[in-house]
Amino acid sequence: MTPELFPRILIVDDDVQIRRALFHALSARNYTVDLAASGEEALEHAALETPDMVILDLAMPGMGGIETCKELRRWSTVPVLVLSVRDGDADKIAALDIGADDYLTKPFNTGELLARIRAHLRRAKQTPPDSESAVYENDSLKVDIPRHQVFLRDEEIKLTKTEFVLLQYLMQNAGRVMTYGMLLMHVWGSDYEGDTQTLRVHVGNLRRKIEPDPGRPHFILTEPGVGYRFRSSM
Amino acid sequence: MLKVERRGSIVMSDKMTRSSLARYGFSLFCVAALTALLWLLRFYFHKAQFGLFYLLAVATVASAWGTRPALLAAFLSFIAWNFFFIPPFYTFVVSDPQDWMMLFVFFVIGALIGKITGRMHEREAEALARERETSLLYKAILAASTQTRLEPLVEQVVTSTGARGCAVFLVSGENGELVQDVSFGDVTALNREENKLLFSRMIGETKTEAAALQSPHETITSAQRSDTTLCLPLFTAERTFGMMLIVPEEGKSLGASDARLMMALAGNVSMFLERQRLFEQASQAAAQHETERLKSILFSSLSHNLKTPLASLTATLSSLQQGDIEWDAKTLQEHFAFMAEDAGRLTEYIENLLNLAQLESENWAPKKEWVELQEVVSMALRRLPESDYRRVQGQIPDDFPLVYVDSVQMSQVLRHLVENALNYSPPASTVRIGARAENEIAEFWVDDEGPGIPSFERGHVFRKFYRGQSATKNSVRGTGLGLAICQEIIQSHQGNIQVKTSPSGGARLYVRVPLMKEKMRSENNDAGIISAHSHRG
Repeated sequence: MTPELFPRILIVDDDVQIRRALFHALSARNYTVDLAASGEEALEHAALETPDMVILDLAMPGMGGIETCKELRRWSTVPVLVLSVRDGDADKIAALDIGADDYLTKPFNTGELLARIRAHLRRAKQTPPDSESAVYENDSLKVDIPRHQVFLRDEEIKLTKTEFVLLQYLMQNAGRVMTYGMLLMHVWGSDYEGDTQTLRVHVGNLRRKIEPDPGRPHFILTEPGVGYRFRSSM
Repeated sequence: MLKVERRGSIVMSDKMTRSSLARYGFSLFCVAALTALLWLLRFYFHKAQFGLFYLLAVATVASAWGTRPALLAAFLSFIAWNFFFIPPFYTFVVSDPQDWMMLFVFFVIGALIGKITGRMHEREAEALARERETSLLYKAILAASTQTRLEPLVEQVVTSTGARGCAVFLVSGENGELVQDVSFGDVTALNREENKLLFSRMIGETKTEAAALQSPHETITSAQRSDTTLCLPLFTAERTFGMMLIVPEEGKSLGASDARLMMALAGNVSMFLERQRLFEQASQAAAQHETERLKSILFSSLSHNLKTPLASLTATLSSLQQGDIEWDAKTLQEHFAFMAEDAGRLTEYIENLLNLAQLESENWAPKKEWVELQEVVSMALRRLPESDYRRVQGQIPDDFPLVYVDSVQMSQVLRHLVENALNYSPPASTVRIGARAENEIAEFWVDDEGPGIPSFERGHVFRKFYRGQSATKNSVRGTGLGLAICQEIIQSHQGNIQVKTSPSGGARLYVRVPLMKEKMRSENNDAGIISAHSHRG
């Protein structure tokens, strides 16, 4: 078998037991696993072995997870999933803002981790969407960017300009956790930084238009205290 | 009835005191004595020469007693000279007009000498009083800035003003109750109702006058007095927080300089109390900050140390649970072993936490018994894995006396020290245990060949949840509880534990506990001890 069939995953954690547990869980699922115990080691591995995905612990002595992620993002677009024992949202948000794609809080379920890994690997394999001409489809939702049209079960729905930009941005990054800051910056610009109220109102409106049951969203999922994530297509 | 009288200043106007009467008497005596002497010698001098002697007397009185007695002396001299020595004798009649002129000039010169000399004298006395006052104030200020208690300051107020007693009252609690804080000397003259009245008058006037005069500083210093006490406010720019009551010596009056001094002393006491209040506030804030900091360290340490083993346990468990893979028996066994290890790690941490909580609780005391240190050491090493056990070397001398300790807790100390030494040194390096008994002190230590503990960290390593820099950098396993537990145990044995440098340059954790004497041992006698003793032979 060629290496491409065995996606390479880099696990970065200072705790030996976590590394071992993840190593066994992932290798059993036919992933090629690299282990790093520190941020410095992780960057070395990432540069030499070009992993398909990085699982990164945030609370590491020395070069911390956030710093490692920042450094990595200067030259790599590899999906990064952040692991954190901290309950504070600030760390997760900081990591996501500087380019991490997703997060899980320890202790986590391996099944959940495997699902996330699959989703990110799939998303990364897709050709990067040309944001101006693409047509996105996800389940019953279809967004035609050049024509500014949105169809739900082949029925066109009217969105405001803001809602359209918001939806387009979320779908382009389907599967990634988008923080409030990232969304505000993209849709409204830097002046609105911190104004999550406005964002919530627009997300609420958008959900009422596209979600079959806005009370239990199917497309736009809430990441409590952090931001939103567009469900990646199965 | 209580008579409270408000005065702008507390100067006593009573100048005619006993001591000033004596001065005038002395003045009279001087002139009389001189007159008597001159009368005996009256044939030897010309009538004009007597004036010179009288001038001498006036000058003497002036320099000794001040202006007014000198003026009296000048007047008396004028009369005596006229009466006894100017013809016609023994009458106040003056026959020669030239004599009149002479007497007049004498009186003017006498008065001038009296006045000038007297003023010099008074200035000198004033300067002396000022100097005394300054030195008292200097002492008071020095005391206020060096003392930590109010008592010496109040004592100083009493001794330096010669009062009978002094009491400091502070406003306390929410309803502004006046509470006596400190007193010195005889303050039995004070009564509660009167104090309250004095204080409320003082506050009341301060308020109304402050509004009227827009100058709180002047009016707030207004002193109140009743017939028995002098009441001085204790205040800062913002508020009046108490008063100082001075009970003067009975019958003694207070001069202007006394009043000024007392005001200054009260101001000094205010300053001291305010400084103390600010200091307390600052240390409370610092303690609060420290508590917050410890709480946050505790929280993140708990969070990390509990969730990390739980995370790897959950990861392995949920990986097995997925049902997507047919695990072979060998791999399953391996996974179970990992999970057992994680569970063990979790248990150990929780045990340490509980242990520390128990050691810190007030009703814990070591269960001391006579044991051999060697036994304590082997208890400590029993739980070590074989690979680690092989790294531990060293011996307790055979003639080491029995120690009177809580053997279970003491073996825990050794276990933590040995585990630390193993964890913080290179994998194959040796950990060495040593012991020595000297001067009724048992010493034992654990040396490693690691990098040692830098001196700036040596004070911190015994703090709860503290982990050394090299530990976090090299991701050494640990919870930051081991040494804190050791310290608690050693301190409960009246001993101490220190970080030193081992012969190889690594860390030496060094413990000293007092050795009980044989005598003590027999006092604590029981069967177990006797058998242990005889066993040692």
